[in-house]
Amino acid sequence: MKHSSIQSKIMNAILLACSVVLLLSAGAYFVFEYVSYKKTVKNNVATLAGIIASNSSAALAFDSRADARDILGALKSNPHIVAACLFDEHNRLFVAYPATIDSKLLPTSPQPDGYRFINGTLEGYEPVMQQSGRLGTLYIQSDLKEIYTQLGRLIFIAGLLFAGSLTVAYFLSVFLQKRITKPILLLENTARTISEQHDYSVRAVKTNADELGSLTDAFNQMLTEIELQNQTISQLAAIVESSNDPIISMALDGTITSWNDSAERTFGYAAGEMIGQSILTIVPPDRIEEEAEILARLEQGERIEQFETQRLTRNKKLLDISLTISPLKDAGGKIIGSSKIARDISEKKQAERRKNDFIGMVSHELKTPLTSIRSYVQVLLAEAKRRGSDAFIVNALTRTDVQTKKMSHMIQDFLNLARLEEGKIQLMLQEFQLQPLIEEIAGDAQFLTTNHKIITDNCADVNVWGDREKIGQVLMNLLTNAIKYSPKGGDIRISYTSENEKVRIRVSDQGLGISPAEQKKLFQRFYRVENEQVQMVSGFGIGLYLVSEILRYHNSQIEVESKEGDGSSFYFSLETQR
Amino acid sequence: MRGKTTYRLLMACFLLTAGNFTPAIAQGKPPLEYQVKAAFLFNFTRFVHWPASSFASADAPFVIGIAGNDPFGTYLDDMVADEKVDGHRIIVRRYADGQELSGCHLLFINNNDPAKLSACLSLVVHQNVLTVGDNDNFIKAGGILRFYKDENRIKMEIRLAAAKVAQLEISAKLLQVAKVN
Repeated sequence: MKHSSIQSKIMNAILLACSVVLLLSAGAYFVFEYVSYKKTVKNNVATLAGIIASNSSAALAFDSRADARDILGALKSNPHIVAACLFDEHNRLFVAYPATIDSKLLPTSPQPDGYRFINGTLEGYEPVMQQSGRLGTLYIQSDLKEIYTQLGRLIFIAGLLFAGSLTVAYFLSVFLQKRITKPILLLENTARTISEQHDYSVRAVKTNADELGSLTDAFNQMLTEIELQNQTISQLAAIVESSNDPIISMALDGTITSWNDSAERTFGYAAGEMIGQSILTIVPPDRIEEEAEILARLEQGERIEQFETQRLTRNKKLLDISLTISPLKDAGGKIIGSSKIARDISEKKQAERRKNDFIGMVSHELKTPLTSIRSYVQVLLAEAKRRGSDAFIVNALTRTDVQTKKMSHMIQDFLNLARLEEGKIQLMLQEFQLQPLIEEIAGDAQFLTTNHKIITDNCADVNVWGDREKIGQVLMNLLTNAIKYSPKGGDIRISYTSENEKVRIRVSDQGLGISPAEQKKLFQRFYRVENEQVQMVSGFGIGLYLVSEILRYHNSQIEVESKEGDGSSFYFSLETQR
Repeated sequence: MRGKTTYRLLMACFLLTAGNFTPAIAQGKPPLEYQVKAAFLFNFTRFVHWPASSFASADAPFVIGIAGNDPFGTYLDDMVADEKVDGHRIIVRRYADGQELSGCHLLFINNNDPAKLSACLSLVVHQNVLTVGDNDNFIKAGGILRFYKDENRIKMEIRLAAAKVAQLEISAKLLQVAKVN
């Protein structure tokens, strides 16, 4: 009979239990029998000794050895009595049995009355009494062959019983174990079928309503769950696969764990090639540090959105992409990897580059004639003032001068923008006095308006670290913005405070103000606030973008505080030292 | 009639003992033969049953009488000094010739004169007295138990009929070691 391991285990358990029980009961019975045999033998010998002792009294009393010998001779009827003797009342040996026995085998004098098991024999001393008077002592010695014969028989019977019981137990266990193992084997069979064929629609058959039944139910329940989860997973997988954007997941060490169709198309590597490889395969050599940085940020649980970078395709072509990276967590919330959704933005980048080139070129081309126009206007204005021309001419030329100046600023902004975008900007960092710069820019700005009053709070003189010209541009842009968005005029105030090796500069107006929603978009390129009141305000929407970009190069940023209809305040900080 | 008999017995016993006086008695320890016989006398008390009526009262002593010459000296007295028969202490009484022989349970008669022996025995024949003697004709003379020698050993001869007359029950064990007729 071939049995599975659980069947053998159960059968072994049954057989072992039976054997132990049998052995224990046999052992207990054996001990009990041994003790009771001993007791029986002792009783028998004591009874016999009592009779012999009683019969010997007269022989002892009247010194009749022949009679005593006769009486002891009666012991022949018990073959286990190996020796006996009578002592008279003076403890002298009177008669021995058997008559031929070597007296060395007998005690030299009687011991205390009673029966004792010594050296595998039973020895006893029985007093010989007649009417309460002691006449002597009977010594008797019996071998224990009777006990050993009985015990031997007992062992033989116990052995037979043991063999018989175990045989019965074996056949019973073969029968009984089936009740337990059958459902388990069925379940195991089902589980094996499922793991071999990956067919989760199979269900185990429930046979009992006991714990195994519950186990079967739980197993089937788990299969249902797995089926449902498989559906969800395949749906999710289908979504991932059908995505237009490459979606890649990887472990914390950068090993790629999934690679969708779009990733195949975009990077030119098949999923089979990439899974198990390092993500560095598609990272350009000069951006390898970037990947480590991303991993470090992810390990802190950070999610990275629209991270613009470049990646290599199979054909060693550089692709501009925007990455959205999220940490992947296990059930316990521990980060075990990351998912990357890449978006190919190379076309967008290309378009931007063309536009920047265009703007740069146009601005440059416009700047040359404008410079000469401005020179001529200034010459004309000076000449008109010198000749004392009429007020209209002076006025017209002054306005023309202001407008050309404004226009050259705009063109300068465009040029700066183009340079910034190309990363060509060069900062001339130096330590300079802030107050004179503020006065100078405020003076220039005051020329642009007549119905605003630009107030520079006279603050303690302080030196700052930065590009003087660029900071001037920042201030100029903030001031022109303040002028533009305060159509009703009013005060524009520039002030600064210094604290902790930093100077905080503030430009505030009493203009239209900016709604919280607008504030967020304010510093985007080409963004212009959209509402009826500012429809008339001219501009390209690059002023604040430039401000924020220049400040970014100074490790600073522009902040805004505003309330609609109640004016705006812009802040930025500069360091006082390098 | 009884007084006459007693007188005669006493006289007989006196005459019997007079000529048998031995120096050993004076020394207190009899010859080995009499030591054994003394032990036997005492042992008889264990193997013979006397009827309760033979005792005058519950605390009356068990009397071992010695008629004729006393061969034991104090040996027998010493032997029975602390012993009891059915709760009765044992005393040894010596009877002079012609003395009243009443009140004894076991009587050792040491008299070789057939006439005196018969006279002595006839005095106690209807009493509960175990008569013991070592004369060859002791049984014939009406005694119950006789010592005799066989291969230098002391043996006993018992006459059951005489014991029956004396209303004594003799243990079968004793009968087993004795010659019974």
